[in-house]
Amino acid sequence: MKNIIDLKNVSKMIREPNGESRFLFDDLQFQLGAGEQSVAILGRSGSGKSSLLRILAGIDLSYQGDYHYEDENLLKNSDAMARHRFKRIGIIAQRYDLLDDLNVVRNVKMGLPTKHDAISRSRSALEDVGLKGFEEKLIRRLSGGEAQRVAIARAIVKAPAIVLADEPTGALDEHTESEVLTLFQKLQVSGIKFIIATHSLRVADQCDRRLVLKDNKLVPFP
Amino acid sequence: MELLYDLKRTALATIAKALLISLCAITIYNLVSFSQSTSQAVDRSFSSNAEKGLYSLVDRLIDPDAFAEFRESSSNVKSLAEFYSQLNVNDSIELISVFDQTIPIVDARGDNSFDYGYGTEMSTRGKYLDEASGKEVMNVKSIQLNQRAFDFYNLEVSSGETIRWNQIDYSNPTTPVLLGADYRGLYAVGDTLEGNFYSKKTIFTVVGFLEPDQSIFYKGDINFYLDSYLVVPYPPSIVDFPQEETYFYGILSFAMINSVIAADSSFSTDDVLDVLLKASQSSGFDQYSLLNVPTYLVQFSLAKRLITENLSLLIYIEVVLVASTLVGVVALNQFTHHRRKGQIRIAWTLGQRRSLLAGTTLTNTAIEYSLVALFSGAVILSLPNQSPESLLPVALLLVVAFVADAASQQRVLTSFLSNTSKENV
Amino acid sequence: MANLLNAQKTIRVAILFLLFTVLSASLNIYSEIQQGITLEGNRLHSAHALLITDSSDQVLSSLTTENVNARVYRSLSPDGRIRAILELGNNSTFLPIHDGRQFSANDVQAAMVGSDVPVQTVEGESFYEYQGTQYLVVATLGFGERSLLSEDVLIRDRALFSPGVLETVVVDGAEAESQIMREFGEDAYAQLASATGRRTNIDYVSPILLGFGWSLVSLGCVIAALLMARYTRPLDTVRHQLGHTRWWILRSDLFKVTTISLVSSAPASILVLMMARAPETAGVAIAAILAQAILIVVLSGIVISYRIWSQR
Repeated sequence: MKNIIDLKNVSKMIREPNGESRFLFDDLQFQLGAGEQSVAILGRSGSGKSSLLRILAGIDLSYQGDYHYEDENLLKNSDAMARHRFKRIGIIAQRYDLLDDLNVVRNVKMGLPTKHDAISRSRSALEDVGLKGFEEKLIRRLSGGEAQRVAIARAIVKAPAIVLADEPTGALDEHTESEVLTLFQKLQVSGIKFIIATHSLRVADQCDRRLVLKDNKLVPFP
Repeated sequence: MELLYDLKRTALATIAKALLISLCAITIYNLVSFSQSTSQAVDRSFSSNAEKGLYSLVDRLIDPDAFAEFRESSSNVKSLAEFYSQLNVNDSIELISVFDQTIPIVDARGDNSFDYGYGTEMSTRGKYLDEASGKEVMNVKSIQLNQRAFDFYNLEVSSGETIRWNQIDYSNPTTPVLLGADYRGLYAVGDTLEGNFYSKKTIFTVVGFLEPDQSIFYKGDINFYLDSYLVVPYPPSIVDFPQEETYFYGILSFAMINSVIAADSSFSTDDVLDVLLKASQSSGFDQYSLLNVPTYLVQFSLAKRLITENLSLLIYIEVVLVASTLVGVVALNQFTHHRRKGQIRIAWTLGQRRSLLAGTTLTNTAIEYSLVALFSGAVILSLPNQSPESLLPVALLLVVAFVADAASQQRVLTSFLSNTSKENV
Repeated sequence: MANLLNAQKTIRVAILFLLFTVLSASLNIYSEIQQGITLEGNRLHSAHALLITDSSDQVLSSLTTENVNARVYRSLSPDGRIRAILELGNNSTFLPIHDGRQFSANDVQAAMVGSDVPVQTVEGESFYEYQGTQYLVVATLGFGERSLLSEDVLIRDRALFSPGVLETVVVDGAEAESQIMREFGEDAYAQLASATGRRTNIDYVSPILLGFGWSLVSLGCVIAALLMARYTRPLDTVRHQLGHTRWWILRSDLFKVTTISLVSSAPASILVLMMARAPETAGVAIAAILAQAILIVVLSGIVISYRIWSQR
C-alpha cells in the first residue's frame, strides 16, 4: 500500500541564541502509511516536534527535502501549501489558537472551506466532541478542556484526511486527557488519521506507531 | 515594575500621546486668543455705543461761484464757524467731523504707501518737486478730525501722548499731530513735519502714534484704516481769525461742517433737524442739508456678524478636534495598557505592592504630561499671536486633563489587578 | 468565509474612522467658509490683491502667458460696487455665494449679483442689464441674504476690459505680485489693505488651526490603519493556519477595512452636503473624505501585507 505522506531527505538548520547554526533535522525521513490511523512523535523539549508538524502542515517552508502527498510532490510555496492544508489537513495547535472574543460556533465555522450549511456542520462537529449546547459561549469563558475540544472540533469540521495535533493534552489533567484520547480514537474510526506530537508516553501508547526524534532524525521508539 | 523598562516598551505610544494632546492644547490656545481678539475688536469698533443712526451733514453751496463768493466774506465764514461750534458742543448729538484732505509734506519719509493715491484708483505720484517752495514733497494721506470723531471710533494712542483737544489752535506756531502705526520707525515723537495745509504753510509736531489697525467709517466704508495716515486734529471752535486768513478758515470750515451726525436710535430725524435749526438760527448759517446714512448700520452689523461668525466656526472646529483627540488618547491608553499588562501581572503575582504599581503608573502619566507641557509650551511661545491671558485657560485645561487621565489609568490598573487576582484564585 | 471581527472591535474602528472623517469634513467646510467670510469682508479681495494702472491687455497678457492663477477686477461704477471680473487659470478659493454656482469657463457673459440688486426674470432665469447687455445671473453674492456684498455686481465679460486703454484694475492671486513686479516694476502697483480680517488675529489663528487639524487627521488615519491591522492579526494567524492563501487573507482584510471606512465616511459626507455653502465646496470636501478612506485602506493594506508576508 502506498504512503499517504512521504517526507524525504528533510534537513533544516536553525540559529541558536548565541548565533551558532545547527541542524534541527538532518536527512530526516517520515512516512504515514495508508493503513495507519495514528502516529506519535516523541522527543524532549526543543527536539523539533512542533517544527516537524509545521513542515507537515505546510506552514514552515524553510527546509531542504521533498514532501509528497499520495505521490504528488507538493510545491514548496506558500499558496500551494495553503491549498494542501485547506483541503486535507486539520490542525490542533499547542495553544489552541482560538479567537477568545468570539463564541464557540464562530470559531468552529472558521475551519470550513464554504459557507454552505456551515452552522449545522459546526454544531454537528461540536456534538461529536461532546460540546453540544456550548455554541454561544465565548471562548474566554471555557475551561482548558473545553477549549481543547473546540480546537478539535474546528480541526475536524471539514472532515480532513489528516489531523496534526501538537501536545493536545499538555495542559490537561489526567481525567480530561483520557476523555480527549477517547475522542481521538472515535474520530480515527471515522477515517481521520492523526499525527500527534507529544512528550506523554500515555498518549503515545494510544497510537499505532511511535517515533522519536533523536540525533536530528526520526527513529522508532523502543 | 521597572519604570525604565516600561518607558522603553511604551516610548512610541507615549510620544504619540504627548504629541496628540500638545496639538490639541495649541489649537485651544489659538481659539482662546482669537476669541479675545474678537471681543476686543467688537468692543473697540462694534460696541453698542457705536451702534447709532448716522446722518450726513453737507453744505448746499454746490455752485463753485456761489461757494467762492461765500468764502470771500469773513462774516460768512464766521457764521459757518459758529454753526460748527454750536453743533460740536451739543450733547444730544455727536458731530463726527472727518475729512481726508491730502497734505503735501516736505521731505516726507516713507514709501509710496503713504502717498494719497496709493491703494486707490487715483494714479500714484510719489515724491515731486514743489515749484512754489522748490522743495521735494509728497502728498501724504491725511485725516483731519474732531475730538468727537476720535472718541466715537475709539481711536487709541500706543505711544507718545494723545491730543490735547482744547489746546488746538491753528494760530499757534505748531500743530500737534498723530501718526498711523505704519509710520513707526520713520518718525519719532517730537519730530516736526513741514506741510501745506490748504495753502497755509504749517509745522506739525508728532505727539504720538496710533495703535495698529485703527479704523473709522468713512466714504461709506466701515473698514477705513488709519495706519498710513497723518492725523490732524480740528480745533474745538474757530472764534476769530485775521482777515488775511479768510481763505484758509473758509476752506477749513467747509471741510469741518461736511461731517456726519451720530444720534441715538431714540432720536428721530426730526429731532436732529431741530438741533440743526437752532444752531442755524443762532449762527446765521442755513446752507446745509441732512442726509440719512443707512449703510452705516447695515455695514456695522454685517461686519460684526462676520467677526462673530468666524468665532462660531472656530469653536465648532475645536469641539470636533477635542473629540478626535480624546478618541486618539483613549486608543493610545488602551494600547499602552496592553503593552504593560504582562509586566504588571508578573510584578503583582511576585508580590509587589499595589501602591508601588499605582505610583509607577502615575509617574508614567506625569512623564507624558511633562512632555505635553514642554512641547506645547515651546510651540506656543514661537507663535506670532502671543497672548499671556490665553495661556492660563490652556494650562488649567491641561491640569484637568492630567488629573482625569491619571484617575482613569488608576481605575484601569485597579480593575486589572482585581481580575488578575480572581484568575489566580 | 464570513468576515469575522467582533462587534466591539468593528464599532471601535468605525467610530475612529467616523470621527476623523468628520474632522476632515469640518476642516474643509471651515476653510471654505472662513475664506468666504474673509472675501466677503474685503470686497472679494484676498490678502494678495493689488492695484495696477496700465493697459489691461498688457496686464492680462502678462498673467496669461505665465499661467498665473488670478482674478482680475475692473471697477465700472464710481462707488466700485459694479465690477467686471475675469478669472485666469484655476482659482482654488471660491467666491462667497448662495443660490447658484461659481463662474465656469463656459460663462462668456454672466454675472453674480447681491441680493439687493434689481434683476429681470425671463422664463425662470434672472438677468442683469449693464449698458444694454443682458447678463445671465449665475449666483447671488454673499453667504446670506444680508451681506456686505448685497449691493455688489460682478460681470464676467472680456469685452468690459478695454484694449489699449490705460485703466486701473485689481489683480488678485498669490502668484500675481511677483509676475506684476517682474513685468511692470515695483512702483507700478499698490497693495490693497485687508479689511474686516484685520480686526482680529484670524490671519494667524486660521492657518495654525488648519495645519494642526490636518496633522491630527493624518495621525488619525495612521492610528486607524494600525488599529485595523492589529485587530485582524489573531484572525489572520488562524486563517493562515487553516490554509487560506495570503492573497485571500489580504483581500478579505481589505474588503473589511474598505467597508468600514466607506460606511463610517457616510455621516461626514452627509454633514458636508448639509453645511457646504457651494456645490464646489461640497465636491472638494467629499473628495477629501474619500481620499482619507482610501489612505486608511492603503495604509492598512501595507501593514497587513507586511505582517502576512513576513509570517513564518
